[in-house]
Amino acid sequence: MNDYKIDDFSIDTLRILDVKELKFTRRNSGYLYLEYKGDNYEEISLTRLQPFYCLDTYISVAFRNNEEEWIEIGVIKDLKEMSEEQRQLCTEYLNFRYYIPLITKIHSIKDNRMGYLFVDAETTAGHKKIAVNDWWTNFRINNSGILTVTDSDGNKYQIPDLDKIDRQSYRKLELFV
Amino acid sequence: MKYFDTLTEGVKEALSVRGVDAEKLLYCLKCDMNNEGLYYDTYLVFDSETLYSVSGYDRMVREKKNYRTEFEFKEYKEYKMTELKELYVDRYRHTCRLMGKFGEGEKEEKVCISRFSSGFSEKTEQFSRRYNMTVKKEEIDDTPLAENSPFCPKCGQKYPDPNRKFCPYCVKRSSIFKRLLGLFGEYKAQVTVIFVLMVLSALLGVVSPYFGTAFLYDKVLDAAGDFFGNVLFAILMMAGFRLISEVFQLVYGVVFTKANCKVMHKLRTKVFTSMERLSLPFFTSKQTGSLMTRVDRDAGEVSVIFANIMPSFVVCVVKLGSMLLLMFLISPLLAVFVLAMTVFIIFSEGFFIRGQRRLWRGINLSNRKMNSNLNDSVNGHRVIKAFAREEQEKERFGKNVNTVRQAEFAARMRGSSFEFMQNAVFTIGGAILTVFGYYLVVTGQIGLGELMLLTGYFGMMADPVYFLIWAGDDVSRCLDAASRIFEIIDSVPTVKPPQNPAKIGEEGLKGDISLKNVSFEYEAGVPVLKDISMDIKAGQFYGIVGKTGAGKSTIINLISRLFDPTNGNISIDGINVRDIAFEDLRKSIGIVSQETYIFMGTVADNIRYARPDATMEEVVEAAKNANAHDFILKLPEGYDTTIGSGGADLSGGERQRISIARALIQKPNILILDEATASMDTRTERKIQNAIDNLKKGRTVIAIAHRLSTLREADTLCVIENGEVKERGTHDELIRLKGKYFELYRLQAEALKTISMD
Repeated sequence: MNDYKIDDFSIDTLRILDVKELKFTRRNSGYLYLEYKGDNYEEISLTRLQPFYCLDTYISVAFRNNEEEWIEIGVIKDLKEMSEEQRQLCTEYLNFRYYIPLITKIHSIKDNRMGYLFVDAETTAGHKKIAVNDWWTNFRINNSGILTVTDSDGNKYQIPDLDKIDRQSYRKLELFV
Repeated sequence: MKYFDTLTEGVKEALSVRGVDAEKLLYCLKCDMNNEGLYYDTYLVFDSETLYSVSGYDRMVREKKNYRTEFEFKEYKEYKMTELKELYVDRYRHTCRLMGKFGEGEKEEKVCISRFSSGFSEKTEQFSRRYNMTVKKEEIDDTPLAENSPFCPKCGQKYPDPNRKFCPYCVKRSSIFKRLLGLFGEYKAQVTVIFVLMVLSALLGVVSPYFGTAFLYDKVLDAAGDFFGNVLFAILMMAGFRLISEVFQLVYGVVFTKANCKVMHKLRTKVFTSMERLSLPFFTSKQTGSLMTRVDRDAGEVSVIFANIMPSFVVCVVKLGSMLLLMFLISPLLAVFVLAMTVFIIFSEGFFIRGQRRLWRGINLSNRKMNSNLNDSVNGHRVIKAFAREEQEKERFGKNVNTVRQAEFAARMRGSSFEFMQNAVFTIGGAILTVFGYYLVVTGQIGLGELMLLTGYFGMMADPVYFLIWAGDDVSRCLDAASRIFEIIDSVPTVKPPQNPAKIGEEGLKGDISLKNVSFEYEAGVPVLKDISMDIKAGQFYGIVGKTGAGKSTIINLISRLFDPTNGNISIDGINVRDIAFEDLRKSIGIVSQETYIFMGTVADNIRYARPDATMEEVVEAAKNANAHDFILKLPEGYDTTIGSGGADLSGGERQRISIARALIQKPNILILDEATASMDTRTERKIQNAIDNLKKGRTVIAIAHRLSTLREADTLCVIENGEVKERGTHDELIRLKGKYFELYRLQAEALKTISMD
């Protein structure tokens, strides 16, 4: 179904997908395939519309057409409406897609004052020394207290709740957030 | 094997044990994650037949003063090129997978070879491309990799930011300071005079109180003193020393200000010149505000180190040193007491600074947030008013102002309390010193005047001590500013001018343009142009069409060498653009782009920007051709109206017409029109189109347009999609082909029909 074509002049509207008609399967390669209302889609991508706030709701389902463009099939309103097996499949995919090392402890932050910070941290992926260039831009905290750190290579790390990190780590961080 | 990562000894051993000849390996890549998302080191290498994968953990082992990497082996795999046909990168939000395609057609199977953090994607893309070329037995050109190496040539570490060829590991603060001092190199004589006068002034400042205290009480007022009754002499000496000290201060201040102003002027000019020399990616990777800060505020910060910190430092050190020496000479016991007090103050101040810095950072952060909010509200005032969101904006700003107030209150409260404590410590210390001192006077161990001198010195010590404690912060700030400035001065342009440029005649380049297998990516791993080839003959009208983001403007950026292609070659008149001097290249190319920039100046100045020697007649002619003359005459001062920043406001179409006139006056052999008439009404567009048609004669014209009707007359039309050339031919040929161009043309025609039906 990769030659899916939309009406050239149709107005885009939000299409909420009927979860009962969705049938995802995962191949050995890790890619998801989808059968929906008699159509088959290869290499499906699931995207959280609000990756910070809604992890299980409003999930966009898209496929890649022959022109290498992602075309949205529609949006799943709530993963909970799906069967247990389908929900688990989608959740696993989304967890993989949005995987980010979470910082659990900060040993030290060295500000060498050349525009770079060196953060020695413990993350859920293991121990890491993170070099951050221009901390003002690369330490981003949102309204929910989620801190996202981007290192100089472009890799991202997160502290999901600044209030829950241990006091010593917070003391080291608070100069920068 | 030069690219992309280096094999550690442990990995080499693991490969060698399995019979892999390290000498035959072509490229190496290190990935950093396993499938579960845990850090795991996987080295991928390939020779002309096989891809090898060695996984495990790199561990840093300390040996005396140095570190050594030890590899803990876990896993080995190998894939034959006859089976693993292709590698590609599968991207997710924060991580990627290196995927491999096995088999072909129906039997094709995709397998994950390795997983890595997204920061590794650039080199993984490059690695995959090279693997795929090796499978297809294609020739690999690594020259662009060598030219844009992301590694520091000194220490071999990767630059933290690939767009900044700046290595923080190699820069030492002491070297920055030395380099700053070097700026005063040509003012050696002045610097010597300043230094000598500073020391003398400080010494005289310390000696002067002696005549008002120890000398007055013990030598003049004491009947047994050598100068008994000579009060006038004592006063003259005191005032004289003080006066000479002030005169010295004045002289070195004047000499210093002159030299400092000259150095700062030179530094600002140097930063600006260096910035102009740098290539476009440097500017696109940085915010304009941050660059302006470097020329303006950072240079100002640097001047502080010379204007305030250094002179004060010299004076403070000399004063403190000489006062302590004199104190020890008068009474070692009291001097030790003073020294102990000073040490106590330094420690308590150090404790205070740590906490206070935190609060100041808080003020700084909240101020920045408030300013961003203010900036938003001022620039977006139309939208705010249009959606009647004044109350919400007021509330948002109110919250931010409140945060600033709280942060400032906390910092000032703490500051005030500490100041009180500080004064208390000094007062109590002074009282103890006086009581103890009187005891020494009564017991005849020191004179009354000497005690007065000691207590005077104790009071005088406060300022230098506080200065030295706080100077660290100022020095750091200045050195940071200096390092940012030196970073610009030291940056190497990514688009380098040719060392031996080809000779181009007075008539300039003719305009035979050829692109051969050109690929390009702005962001690593996201190709914008893929293996594009095209030939544009001199005098041809060449149209490029395609959707937004297809890569059309990138082709133009590459032809005019604002960027260099990642792969492939571009030549004009058979000469590689890399061998053409910037001046010759840009003189022969006139660009009218969709982004028009009007410089601060008159209309005439803006039109003759590329050719300042153009006569007024030529300016008016170009304006007429660009259909700009009429609206220029309506401006209050005609061609002398100041436009640009702070000048008269021009509409988008008017700015574009000025920009066309600016390109026309240059009389270039190659004229590039990138959506040149996009912001104009149909009538004006038609008129300009006629003007452009006139100019096409004898020129190579490359035009990009969304409205295909403007390109109907093109000798050749080229359809670009997703960075690839999809179709090529004349309008009629492409219509007959019924492909992409036909589809675009049909869409536009139908859209027009819809409009006419309405």
